[in-house]
Amino acid sequence: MKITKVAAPETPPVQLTVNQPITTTSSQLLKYYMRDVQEGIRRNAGAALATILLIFISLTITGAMVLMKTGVDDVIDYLNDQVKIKVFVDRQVDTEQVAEILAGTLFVSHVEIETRDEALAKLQRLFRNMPHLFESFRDSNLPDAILIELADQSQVETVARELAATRGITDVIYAQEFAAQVLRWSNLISTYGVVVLLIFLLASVLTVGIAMNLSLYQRQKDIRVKLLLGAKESHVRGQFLLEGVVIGFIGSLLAAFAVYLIYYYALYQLQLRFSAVFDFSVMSLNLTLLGVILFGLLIGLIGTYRTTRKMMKHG
Amino acid sequence: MIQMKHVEKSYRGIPVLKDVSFTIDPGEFVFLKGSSGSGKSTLLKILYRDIEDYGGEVQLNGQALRLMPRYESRRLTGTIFQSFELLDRKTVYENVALAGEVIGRNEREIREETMSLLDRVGLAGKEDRFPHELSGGEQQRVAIARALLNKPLVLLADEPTGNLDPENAEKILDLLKQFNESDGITMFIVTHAEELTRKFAARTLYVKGGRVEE
Repeated sequence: MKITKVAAPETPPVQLTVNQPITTTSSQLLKYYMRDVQEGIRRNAGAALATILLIFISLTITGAMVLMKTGVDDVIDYLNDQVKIKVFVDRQVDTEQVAEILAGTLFVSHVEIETRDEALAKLQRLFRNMPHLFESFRDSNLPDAILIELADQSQVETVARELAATRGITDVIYAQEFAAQVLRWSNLISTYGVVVLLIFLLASVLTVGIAMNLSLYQRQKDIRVKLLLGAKESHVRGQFLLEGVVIGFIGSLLAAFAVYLIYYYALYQLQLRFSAVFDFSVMSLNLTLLGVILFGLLIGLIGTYRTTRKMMKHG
Repeated sequence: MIQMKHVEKSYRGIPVLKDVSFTIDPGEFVFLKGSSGSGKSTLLKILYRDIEDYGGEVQLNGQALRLMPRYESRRLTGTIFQSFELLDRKTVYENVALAGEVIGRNEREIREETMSLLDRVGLAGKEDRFPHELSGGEQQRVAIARALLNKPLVLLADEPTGNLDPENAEKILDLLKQFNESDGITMFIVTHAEELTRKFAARTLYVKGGRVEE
């Protein structure tokens, strides 16, 4: 039998003794997979970039809408105050008694008393950037007020006129038609915004799935070879899941940054100008940013999980 | 090492393997021959777990193949193909080292053994080349080194010389015989190269009409 001469090795040859133990470690494996994840994203850069972009757009819109929803809620609260009729009564008259009488009439659906302290708290918010103005109110003799919600908003002017003519009532402040219109629109936006959000999030999940499909298609041979060499199916799948999570994380991190910019340059400025209406808390901002990042990770994970589910059976 | 008992396999009702039974002992060098479409590759696919739905029983190293996780049985077998199945974007070194990486072996150990194996298959100095820069014979040598890196008990070769000229084909079989003799690795080689295999004094099994004969 002919034996081909093989070049003499410089180092002692490895004896491939069968059954010789092989040392394997999970940390080594993780290191190799992290490298493969990086390589996978680089090789599939176009699809990965498109996915990152879509996640970025979706989550930026989502995050901004969540923050705006807080703003809209503030506007709704503010306008709710405005569509109510505010009645100031004579100091000689018992405010609670008047409130009770008003509550018993047909045209009133709800009545509440706003005490001097509550009114001052509102004014403090309104003049938070102008403390000298607030001080002048604090020193004044601000009376208690009665807030009336009407059964029929269209009757607001008639009712306000009648109340103003009533003995014991010193002043009547009532809503404008404009406020009621804005309130209706705010409610509509608030409701349909959720639907738009869900559509965007679904689109993100599907796009991640498509990108991962493309990535899997390009690497069918790699997957097959790895599995033939004895890679665990869960590890090969894990690599793709990790890729999805990394893509989702990058997209969501960019989105969180964009949402912060939107907050700082639009919503916070709005709050500075209309401090009586808007009150964006740091807590709600932080929760929104955290939610955006968690959603990004979840979108990456779900999108990839769906795609890789059947893949391993054909490995 | 390998034991098949009454193995049967059909494709859409057409039987390809019928009541196949044979045993290969540790350290044997065995050819499996037969005409195209006779079921040679199907038989090998059962061994490297590409086909799971078959009748009968297959044992590898005394354990029922069906009861072992797929990755575990594949770590006991090395596989090479007619089409080499090398990854084009990886260098020769990276292709071989991949075998160690997918099972989480130590980096230093992989480096040492990869270099030594490349030396033994005659590819020293070509570690940084890419597969397309090598001849067919050289590519198959890379595939052999990769299949042997994790010290398998048995090497399964599916038409390993099918894409090579006679001279290179003989060199590849020489190399396999060399590893079989010096390292005790069991070799099970599917081929239809009649003339070539005649040069080797080796046990030969034949697949005829779906059955395996000595």
